[in-house]
Parts: sequence; structure tokens; C-alpha cells
Amino acid sequence: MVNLLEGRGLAFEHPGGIRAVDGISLGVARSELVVVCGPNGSGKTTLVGLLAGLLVPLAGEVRLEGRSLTGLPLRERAQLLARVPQELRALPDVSVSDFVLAGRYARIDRWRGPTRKDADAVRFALEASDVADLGRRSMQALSGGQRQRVLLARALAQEAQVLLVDEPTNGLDPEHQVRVMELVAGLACHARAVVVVTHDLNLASQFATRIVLVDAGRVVIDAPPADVLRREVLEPVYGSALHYGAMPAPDGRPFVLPWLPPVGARAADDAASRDRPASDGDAS
Amino acid sequence: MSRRLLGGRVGLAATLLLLVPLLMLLSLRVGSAGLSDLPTLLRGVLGALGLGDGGLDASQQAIVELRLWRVLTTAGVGAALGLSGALVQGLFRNGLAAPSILGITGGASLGATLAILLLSGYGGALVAVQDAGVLTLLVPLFGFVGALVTVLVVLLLASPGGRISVPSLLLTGIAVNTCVAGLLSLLSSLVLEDWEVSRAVLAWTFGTLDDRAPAHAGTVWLCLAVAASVVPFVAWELDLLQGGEDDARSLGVSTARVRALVVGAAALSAASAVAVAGQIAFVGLVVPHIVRQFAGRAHAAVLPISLLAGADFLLGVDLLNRWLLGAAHLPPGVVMSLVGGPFFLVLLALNRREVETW
Amino acid sequence: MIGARRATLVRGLPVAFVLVVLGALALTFDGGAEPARARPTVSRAGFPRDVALPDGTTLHLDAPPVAVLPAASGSVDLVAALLPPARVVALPGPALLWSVLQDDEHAWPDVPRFPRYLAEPILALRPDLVLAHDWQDAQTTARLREAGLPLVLLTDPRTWDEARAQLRLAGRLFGVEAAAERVIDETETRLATIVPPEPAPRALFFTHGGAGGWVAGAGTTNDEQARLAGVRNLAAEAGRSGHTSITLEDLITLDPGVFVVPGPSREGGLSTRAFLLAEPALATLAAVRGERIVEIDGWLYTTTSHHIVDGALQLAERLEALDR
Repeated sequence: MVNLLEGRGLAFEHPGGIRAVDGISLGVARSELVVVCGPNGSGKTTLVGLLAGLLVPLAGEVRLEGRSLTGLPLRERAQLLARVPQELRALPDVSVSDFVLAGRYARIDRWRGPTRKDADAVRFALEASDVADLGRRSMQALSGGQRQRVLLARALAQEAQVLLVDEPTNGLDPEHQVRVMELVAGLACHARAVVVVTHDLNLASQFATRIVLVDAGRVVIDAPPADVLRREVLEPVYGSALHYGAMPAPDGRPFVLPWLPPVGARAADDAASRDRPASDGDAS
Repeated sequence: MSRRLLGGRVGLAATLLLLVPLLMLLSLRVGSAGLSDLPTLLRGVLGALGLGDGGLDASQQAIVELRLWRVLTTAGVGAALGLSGALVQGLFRNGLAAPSILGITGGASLGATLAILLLSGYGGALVAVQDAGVLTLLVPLFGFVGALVTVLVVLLLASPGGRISVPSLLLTGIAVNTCVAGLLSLLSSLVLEDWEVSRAVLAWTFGTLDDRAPAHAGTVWLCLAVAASVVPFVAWELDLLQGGEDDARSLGVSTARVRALVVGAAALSAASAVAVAGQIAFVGLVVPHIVRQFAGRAHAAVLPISLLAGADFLLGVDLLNRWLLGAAHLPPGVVMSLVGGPFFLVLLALNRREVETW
Repeated sequence: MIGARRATLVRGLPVAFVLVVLGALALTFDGGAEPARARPTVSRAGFPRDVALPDGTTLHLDAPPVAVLPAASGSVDLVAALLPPARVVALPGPALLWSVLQDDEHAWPDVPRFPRYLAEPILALRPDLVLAHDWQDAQTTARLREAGLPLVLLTDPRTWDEARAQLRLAGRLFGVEAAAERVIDETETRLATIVPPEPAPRALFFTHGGAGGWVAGAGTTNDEQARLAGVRNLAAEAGRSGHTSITLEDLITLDPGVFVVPGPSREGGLSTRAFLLAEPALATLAAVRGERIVEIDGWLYTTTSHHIVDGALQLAERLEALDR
């Protein structure tokens, strides 16, 4: 299987010599939805920055459809790879359809302006993200779930084969979390390669083709969900405050819940987890 | 919408564009000499532009030419300041940014002060030229060079790795401005005893649109034309930059190129304006602010409309100033501060809610 | 859709109205030119002539100027001394306060005033000779020259010798050499009446406008007045040249025998004399305790014409009155 997006031996240090990513390799093929998981400060966000070409790796390289990311002009890169940011620095005061049109930036001729093809792509993206009825609404008048879907629509309008989605479910209620993830998963079905970064192991379990579990800048495991959501894999990373279960048959997918056993049953667990160093704060 | 011509604000732009020749015409007719006969004025203007002999007597022709260069300089300076302000505010994503942040005003003042000192004999034989026509252009020339050199220093210090970051540009600008202000105070204090020179230095800081020559109007319009030519290359890009640097890059925007073009154009237009007319505060700050109230946020609209509104604004204020006060009119920098300050306060009061959420 | 279009129309109406009003104004505005004054006829004897100027150039004059425009107080003194009002086209309004025409508000009432040294109002007056000063706005001077006006750029005299040379220059420019010599003779006669006081008082030419004190050192008109009146200029002796600011401490160190200060200005305000008497730090100075403070009329204190001599004359008279 050919990887559309591939990172090889990636390393990155933040100013001050803190190594956030320390030799990560990872590949995503067509129709795959790879979820990058990890605790706070594990290096997920840095990894997405490297894959998106926003950060220059200290070592290793990122290849996009077989070409090195560093040699690729920004416009061409934007035609091949779209990134859905977790949130914007500031929400522009424009209509939703204007906002989505920005996804066409790399494909619109400066002098001719948007063509019918661009208008079609915007309409398709709005429909595919289920926000067609919001087209004339201002970006600043949207709810969190709507905003997330509009951000997705903009990336869709880029018509890129590789999609990087950063924390798409942050701040959404459970209903919207599932809806947004369903949308993202649908994109992978359309022969795209999708990378999603999220905290949420259960959403990963339901939608991911593979989960890449990252901790302290290294890959702990890169495997299908059923092989990742297991106590022997997660406990060294997340500690013991998790309850492990599975959906009833025929689905059978594993899940985890944040869970502390009642006080009496806790003493033994505490003693076991005391050796593990506390993870440092969110360095992203 | 942001990709439509002028962001869809064609009507507003056309109105402001129409206002420019209208205000210029009115301005041509107002003056202490009382020369306001329209056919005579037009003949004089044609004569001044070298389009045939106006048939006016020498003193009438001279008065028409004085007014023409004044009006053209005023329109050019207003337009240049409006455009520069809109560019800088777009780049810094901050409605309180002004061209002076880049060190333009301070640098121009330093250059102009140096020129005044040289002309007053402080440089000894440094001023070899004695032609009065060239000498009077020395102050704007030094102002222009001073502004551009200061901007270059700010840019070099703000981009150690060749990448300009907006926050470091802001901080470096403040630091360099402080240094320049220090040098300026030093120069001013050294010549404090020489009241004629001190007076010239002080007068320069008030700005003037009086008694301009073709060279003044030509300089500001040429620089404005060059600066305005970058608008199509940065307008949509500035919109996309509002969501943050990384986001714009992900969409394919060459943010480094956009930054360089915006800073270059803003510096060039503001430097030329300050060089030919001295310090005229608030146009660069207030005009883009007002424009955004009416033309929305899309830079395809804000940039060209700020340019037009800047020209209209300065022409209008200058016209009123001379209409009401005659030959005793106030320096434009003084009027702008007196009018601009309260105007800005009212604007802030009317938009309090927006300011609080910003 | 129709509603939206009507809304656009309604919003557009006031804009259109403003545009139409401005347009109408632009087409109908009338600046209202003032009628020109009749110009006198003067004998053309000795004209055309070329007058050599101090800067090395020459000025060609076809006829004696009959519409002279002095641009500042120094040149006002020249025209006031040499020309009848009819040959002066306009006077600089604010500068009159510092000229010989200051003591009578109604001096030369028929001559129009202009408020500022700006090219347009000056061109509109159509002068046939402009007397400008080298400290005035160079841009305005350049525009006036470009417009083809005969313009003489004067350097303000600091001594009676320089003022005498400037009177002779003005005489040649106006075609009134005899009148210039007469003024020079009269001034010399007045100057000869000064009897230098013995011993020469140790004077300090001091000004305080409420924001710091200034003294006149060497190379100033006040220094010349001191020389003509036969008094010592302490500031020049202390090595100061030009008008320099002075601290109270330096004032006390210099300990002058007499203060020479400008008289109260017509607009009122704190006079230098009042400052000297009120400042506690100076209360120990002998000149303050003895109220040895000589006031000279403001315009004579600052004059840059042959009236320097009259300033010296007044200084000598008032010094004598002080000792009497």
C-alpha cells in the first residue's frame, strides 16, 4: 500500500532544548483514518505541525505523495494537504460561504477570481459537512459544533487528498462529537488519507483504522483500535485510573472510562502507580 | 464576497472616488487671493500641467499653480496615510496599529531635523549645493530617507533568522521608536538655544500643506502608486491572515512574501507622506477604522476604500480649515490631532461593545 | 429583493444629496477678490537699475517699486523710515508689534495687513518688491521666487554698522538714496548725544517669559546696544554668545550691577521685572534689592533695524534716571 503522507524519523526540539518529538515514523495510506492519541504534552500537536509542514523537523522528513514537503511551494502543498485547525486565532467577520471559499485560495487565479468550478466545490463542501443552510450566516454567529463543521468544510473545499484534523471534538457535546467524527470518517471512505489528533480514545476506537499512541515524543504502539485499548498498553501511558470495557456483541468494540475505584479499593492501586513519573503539563 | 471587485462595495468606493475631484475643485477655489473664477482656474490648471498657454497673467498663474500643487499634495498625503494605516492594521490584526509603529514618523522627523540643522549651517561645508530650489527639497528628502532607514533597522532587528514575526516587529518598533525619540530630543535640546532653528524643527512636527511644489506632489503620488500596486497581491491574503499565521500557510498563503509586501508598501507610502507634509497624525489610525464600520472587514474593500477615504478626509479637513480660518489656518497636524482625537473617542463610545469583546 | 433594492436607494439618497450640494458649491463658490489699491506714480529717474545684493547677486529693477511688501518687523522699519504709506502694498499684521509702527495701532491705516508669510496671499497682493528675511520659511521664499516676484532676502543686522548698510541698500532698491542718508545722519546725531556712564555699569540683558531665563551674549543686538550705551555686557564677558538660557545659580554667580529687561508687553502677562522681584532665590542680589532694573520698550529690546540705536539711547536715558 502506498502512503500518501509519510513521516520518517521525525524529531523536533522546542526552544530551550525540550525534545517534543523524538524519532517518530508514521505513514497514512488512501482510505485510511489514522488517529494520533496521547496524554497532554506527549508531542501530538508538534507531530501534526511537522506533518502539516508548519514546523521544520530537526531530523527526518515528511513526504507528501512521494515528494519531500520542504521542497514543495506553499500553494502546491495546500492543493495536496488540508489542515483543519483546532481553533482559529480570531474568527473573521465574514459569511460562512466566504470563509469556506478561502479553502480554494491555492486554486483560484488571482486575476480571474473564483470560477464556477470553485463555486461548485464550495457548495459541495458545505453540503458534505451538513452546513449548507448556514452559507449566509456570519462566522461569529455559529455554535461550537457548527464552527467545527465549517472548518471541516473549508478543508474539504481544498480538494486535497490528505487531511490533517487537529482535535475536532474539543468542546463539543457527545452528540456533536459523534456527528463530527462520522463526517471525518466519511471523508476517508472517499479515498482520502485522514489523520486525526484527539484525546478521545473511545471516538478513536469507533472510527479509526489505526491508532498511533504517542508518549514522550515516541510512538508507543501503531495498531488497530482493538490492539490499543488494552490495559497492558494504556496503563504505562495513562496510569491506572481507567476502566476497560467492550460494547455488547455483535459490535464488540473496546472502550475505556476515566474511573477511580471506591476509596477502600484504591490503596493498592496507588502504591502501584507511585513509581510512574507524573507527565509534564501541556507543552503544546 | 471577499473575492468580488472591491469586496462588493463598489457604490461606496465610487462615491468616495467622485468626492476626490469634487473636493479638489472646491479646494482650488478657496484661497486668500480670492481667485475663484472657474474658467480662469481651469485655464491656469491646464497651463500648469503644460497643456497649452493658460493666458493668465504671471501672478494669477502662480496662484493657481500654488493651489494645484497644494491640493494634489493634500490628496496624495491623505491617500498614502489611509492606505498605509489600513495595511499596517491588517498585518498586525489590530485596529490600534498605525504606521508610526514601524518607526516611520520618528525616522522622518529625525531625518528632517538633521536636514534643518545642515541648512542652518551646523554641518559646515556639508551642504555644497547652494541652489535655493534644491535646498528646500533637502528636508523632505532627508525625511524620506530617515523614515526608510528606520523601517529597515526595525525590520532587520525584528527578523534575526530572516523571518519577520509580527509580535517581534511590534516590540522592536517600540524599542527603535524610543531610541529615535531619544536622538531627536538630543538634537532638539542641542539647538534649543538657537531659537530660529528650534522654531523650524518644531514647525516641521506640526506638518504643513502650504506652499508645496511639483516635487512634493510628484513624490507622494509616485510612492502611492507603487504602494497601491501591491493591493491585489495582499488583499485576500490579509483576510486569510486574520485566522493566524499557521492557518494562512496551510491554505497556501506565502505569509513571508505578504508580510514583506505589506510592510514595504506601508513604509513607502507613509514615508513619502510624512516627508512632504510633516507629521499629520491620526489619518492613518482613524480612517481605516471608520472605513471598516462601513465597508466590512474584507481587505479587498478596506484597502482601496481607506486610500480614497484618506484623500477625502484630509482634503475635507484642509478645505474647512482654510475656509473658516483663511490665511490664519492652522497646521494640518494640529487640526488632525484636535479633530481626530475627539472623533476617535466618539467612535469608541459608539462601539463600546465591540471594543470589549475584541 | 425589491425591499433590499429600496433600502439601498434610501441609503443612497443622502449620499447623492451631499454630492450634489458639494458639486453645486464647487461650481458656484465665489472667493470674493478685494479691489486693488491705486498705485502712486513715482519719478523714474535713475531707473532701470541693477542693485547689488549682499549675497553677491544683482536685482534688476525696471522702475522704482511702488508696491513694496515688507515680510517682517525689520523690513517694516525700513519702509517706515524711507517710504510714504502709498508705496507699501501691505504690512505683516502680527509683526507690527515688534516694529516702529507698534506704538500707534492706527499707524498707516490705509495699508492692508496680511497675517502670515504664505505665498498665495502675498502673490494676490501683487507686490513689485518683496523684502523677506532669511529666517522665514524657505518653501514660501522658493515659491515666491518661482512665481517671478522680485524678492530680496535680508539678513537681520546685529550692529549699527550692519543696519546702516541695510538702510543704504533699501535706499538703492527704493530709489530714495537721499532719504536713506538723511535717516543715517539723524540716527548718528541721536547716537552722539549718549554720554557713557562712569564707571561703566555691569549690565545683564535678561528675559524671563515664565518658563526659564535667557540672557543675551556676544553677537546679539543687545550686546551692540550695550556697546553703544557704554555699559558692560556681563553675559558676553562670561563667554556666552547668542541668546542662551541661564540658571538661577549662574545669575547669582554673575551678580550683575543692573538688569536690563524688556518692558511689559501690550498683551500683559508676567513681566521680567515682576519675576526678578518675586523670585526668592534672587532676593539677595544687590541689583534686585536696590531695584536696579532698567526696562526697555519691548520692540526696542528686540529690534533688528537702525532702531538698535534708539534702544541704546533709551537704555542710557533710563540708566541715568535710575542713578538720579
